[in-house]
Amino acid sequence: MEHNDREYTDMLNNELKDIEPGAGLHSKVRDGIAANAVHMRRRNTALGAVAIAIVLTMGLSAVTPVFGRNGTLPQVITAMAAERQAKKMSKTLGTAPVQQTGTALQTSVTTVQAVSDSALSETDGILALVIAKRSGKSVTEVLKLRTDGLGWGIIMAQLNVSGRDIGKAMSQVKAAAKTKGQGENPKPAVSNTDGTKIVVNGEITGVSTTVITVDGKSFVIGAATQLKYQGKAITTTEIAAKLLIGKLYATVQGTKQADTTLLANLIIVQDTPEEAKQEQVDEQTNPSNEQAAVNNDQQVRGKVTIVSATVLHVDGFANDIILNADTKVEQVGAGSTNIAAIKVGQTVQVHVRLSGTTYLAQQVHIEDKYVKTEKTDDEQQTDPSVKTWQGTIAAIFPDKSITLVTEANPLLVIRITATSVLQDASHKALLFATLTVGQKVTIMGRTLTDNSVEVVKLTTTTSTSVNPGKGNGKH
Amino acid sequence: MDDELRTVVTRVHAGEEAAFDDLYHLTVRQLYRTLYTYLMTREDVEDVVQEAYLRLYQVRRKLDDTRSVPVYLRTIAINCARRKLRRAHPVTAPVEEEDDVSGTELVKGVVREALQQLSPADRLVMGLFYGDQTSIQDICRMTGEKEGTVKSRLSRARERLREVIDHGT
Repeated sequence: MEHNDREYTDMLNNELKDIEPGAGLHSKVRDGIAANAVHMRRRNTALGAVAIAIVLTMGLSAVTPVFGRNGTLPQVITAMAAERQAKKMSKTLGTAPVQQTGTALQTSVTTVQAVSDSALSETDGILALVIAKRSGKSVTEVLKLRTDGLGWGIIMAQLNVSGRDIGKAMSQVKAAAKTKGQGENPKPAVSNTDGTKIVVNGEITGVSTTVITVDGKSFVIGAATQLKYQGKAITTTEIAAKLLIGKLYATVQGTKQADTTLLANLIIVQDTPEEAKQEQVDEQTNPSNEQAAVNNDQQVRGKVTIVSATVLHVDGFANDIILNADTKVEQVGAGSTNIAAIKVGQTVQVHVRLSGTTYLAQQVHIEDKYVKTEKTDDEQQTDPSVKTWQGTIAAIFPDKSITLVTEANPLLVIRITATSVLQDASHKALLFATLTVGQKVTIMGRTLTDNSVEVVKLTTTTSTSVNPGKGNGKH
Repeated sequence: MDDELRTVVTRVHAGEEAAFDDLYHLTVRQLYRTLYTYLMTREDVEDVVQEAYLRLYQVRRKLDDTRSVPVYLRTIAINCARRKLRRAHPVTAPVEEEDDVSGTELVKGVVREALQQLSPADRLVMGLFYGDQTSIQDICRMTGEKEGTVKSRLSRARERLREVIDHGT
């Protein structure tokens, strides 16, 4: 039996001829549409109300402290950002982040102590120090606001500290931490503006409930004195018990009392002595030195008031800072540079080490960005007084002179000065001590009256020479 | 019909509320039959018709191409019907026992039985092509299937129908 398309059509139409929509279907469709219209109207009304509420809340929260003691919405956002930065900094610094922050910000011992003594978390402690520093207010005032229950955002607004200020301070702390090196034991803060602070470390030679003797100096243990051992509190009885077993050492932060006794504020007990033993400075013989009796290493930050090839003065730091050939100098935008790059008026951060009564600059970080105003190498080449020699180091002398074998001169005396730049082939700074006999070097310098050469720049081209003596002298 | 539909759609587009009722009356019979070949139960068809017209109502102001309205409506309806089939149950509509067993009714019963043995998708294509005289291209647009798929569905449905009817008669 054959079927064609017409037959299928007829077949289906016949099958479906009684299939008609019921009479009530139109009413159902209409009812559905009406119910949906009501539903949509209600939904739109609710959504509109929610949208209006959100807009009003946002608008209101921007100008009024709808978040109570946390302030307005922008203040809450600022606080969250600041706390995030502080938390990150706390992680970066590792151990004793509050103390390290205090050191980096050149905050006084008492200020850091006040923060440590408070019930604030490390994150809050860092923020308190930073805000106090940036606002110029005392940390006590900041702590008071915080303990009153105010959020950091509202505190920052009241003290006129912006989020950008916090960021800058955090960068400063980070830079200081980087300079100092990770994992180093935190040193007590160094500022000692009234000359009454003293920090001593050394062996504990005696301890009672009221007095501890460290490195021959006796400190009174008061009610507020904190005693710590491996980050935890320790009692004088426990110290005494440990002393019976073996030697103990301690770093003591103390305050000189009116009756000349020393009151210990913080005693950090250690099993081993500090690597760099505290230099004791007699305050009587050096009463004017406001940095006397402080820790060996410290950070000094401020504007350069005086600079020469050997001495640096930084605003806010009363002592001479000695510069020498071992002083590393780096500048933002230039990387490693030399002492000549330090100019009056620049803001610098100096890592200073107290040696005896002399403050030696270990590292100078120039925060002002390098501007290319000085002569470039090419320009120096055109300076008739600056010439270039290539040769091999034949000998090195302790007075920072070397002899060089060049093609034209079998024994050219080269003198390294404080302003000389020593670098390797990849322009990384070198220390004089790393130079070795046999190295091939390129010297840019000036000929002195005794025919020796004062080095402007020394660049090593190889670590050692296979065939010394094949330098090319060119004038 | 086309002119009348065009006029009604224009009125619907203009926002005339009563015009939507006219649109309903013009299109519902064809839609109902198409859906019946697909779902095979009046209850399901009525549910889908309601949903399809509600959706059409929601976009009524955007209807501007009168020629596409029936296709558009059936596309909406087919999608609603697919969801219903997925959600609910495979179609197992009972074959209504007819008391009248005249020659015509006997053939009708056999055709229905043959339709029920087809898959819903094959049945839909059969209904659209032979029942509604819809073009292959429009069926492709409505079902979202390729031309080859639609044609093979038609072929399979025809063959099955013929087989059942041949054996039945």
